[in-house]
Amino acid sequence: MRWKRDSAAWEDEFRTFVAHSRSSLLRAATLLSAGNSHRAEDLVQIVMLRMYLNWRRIRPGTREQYARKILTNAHIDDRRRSHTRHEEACAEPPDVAVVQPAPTDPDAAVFRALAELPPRMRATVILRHVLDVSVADTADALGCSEGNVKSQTAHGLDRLRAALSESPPDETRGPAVPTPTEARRNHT
Amino acid sequence: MSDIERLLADAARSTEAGPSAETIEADVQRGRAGLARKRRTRLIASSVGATLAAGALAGSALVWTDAVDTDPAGPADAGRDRVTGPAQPTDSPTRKSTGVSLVAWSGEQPEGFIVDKVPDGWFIQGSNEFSLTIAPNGDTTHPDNFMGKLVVTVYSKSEQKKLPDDGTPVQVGEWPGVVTHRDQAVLHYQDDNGNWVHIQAPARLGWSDRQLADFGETVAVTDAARPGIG
Repeated sequence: MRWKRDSAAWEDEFRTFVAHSRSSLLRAATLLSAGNSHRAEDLVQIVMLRMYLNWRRIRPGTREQYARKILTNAHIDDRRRSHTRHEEACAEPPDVAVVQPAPTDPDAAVFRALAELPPRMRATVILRHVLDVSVADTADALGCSEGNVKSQTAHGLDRLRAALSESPPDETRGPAVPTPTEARRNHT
Repeated sequence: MSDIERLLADAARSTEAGPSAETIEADVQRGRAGLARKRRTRLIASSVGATLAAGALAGSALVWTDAVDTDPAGPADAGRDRVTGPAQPTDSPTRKSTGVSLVAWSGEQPEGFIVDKVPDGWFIQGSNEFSLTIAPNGDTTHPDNFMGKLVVTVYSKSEQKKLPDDGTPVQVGEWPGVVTHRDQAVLHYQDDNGNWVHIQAPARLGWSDRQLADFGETVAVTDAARPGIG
């Protein structure tokens, strides 16, 4: 059946897209989530699900752009929901206080600095300086003006610079520093 | 490149190993499950619509019976009640939801469009880079004769700036749309490529605005389509 052949063909195209784009989306999602790998994977799964559902409506040349748009919107929507701002509940609290390790790992230091930025400003900085997206495409993804993208990027970089200059990162990459949540999980 | 830009550019590089075959397949499986969920939800919605329509008809029958049997004002007033009563199904959306159902299209895909479904008993009569015509089986008129047919046309951004103000808002997948009822029902929405898609549905399909939007979700305009003028 022609229709079934078409269905298989577009799924193969989708697979190729996943193979090609998933890693860069996961990296962006990891930074948007300020190092929360579980949340990053959730965001990427949301992106892939929406891409699949709308695959044949998306022009082939704009798929990457469309995926970035879904990712940033999913990140911003998620941060708007109040329940995600709450602390995570755990059955048994840790016996000892969690000591915040010094940010010796460059990634950990960047994650902490990114976590201090508002969601839209964080997304702007990551789209521009991690994914190397143009000002126009960043404005399109975030639904704002190009001027807004430029000012958000400048403010974001200033704040990151200030945060990282307070705790200069070690150039030699050591082991990943766990977040407080991960530290609690490791402890239990 | 400043230090901060370099740090950002190098951050989280450990995630850049390509996805495994299992990860890719898991994304496909989640997509399929999502699609199935979406279709189930639509099926339930249309079933509820049909039930409500049946309820409305039953309600209408009850009003009729009550009016004839118990209205002390006599048959003349009872007749007026039947005309003005809320249970009249004359033009309610629920009544229209019992229209022709959609079935999977297994024939050739038309030029400029991808069609998943067509109304039961209808076929793709013709297409070109501007429009797609779907007609009832047995219709031998020319595909460019749109009378009484389901027609999808594409218009450029310069031809239309925004959704019409005088229609019913509907959601077409992730796109906001509007159904207008001038000479006939027409669904308007703008796709991701910026093209305006118009879908004209003849009354003989008996579709509600929601059913027309559901059909819109099953049609995709490809790069081969060219927006028409005027």
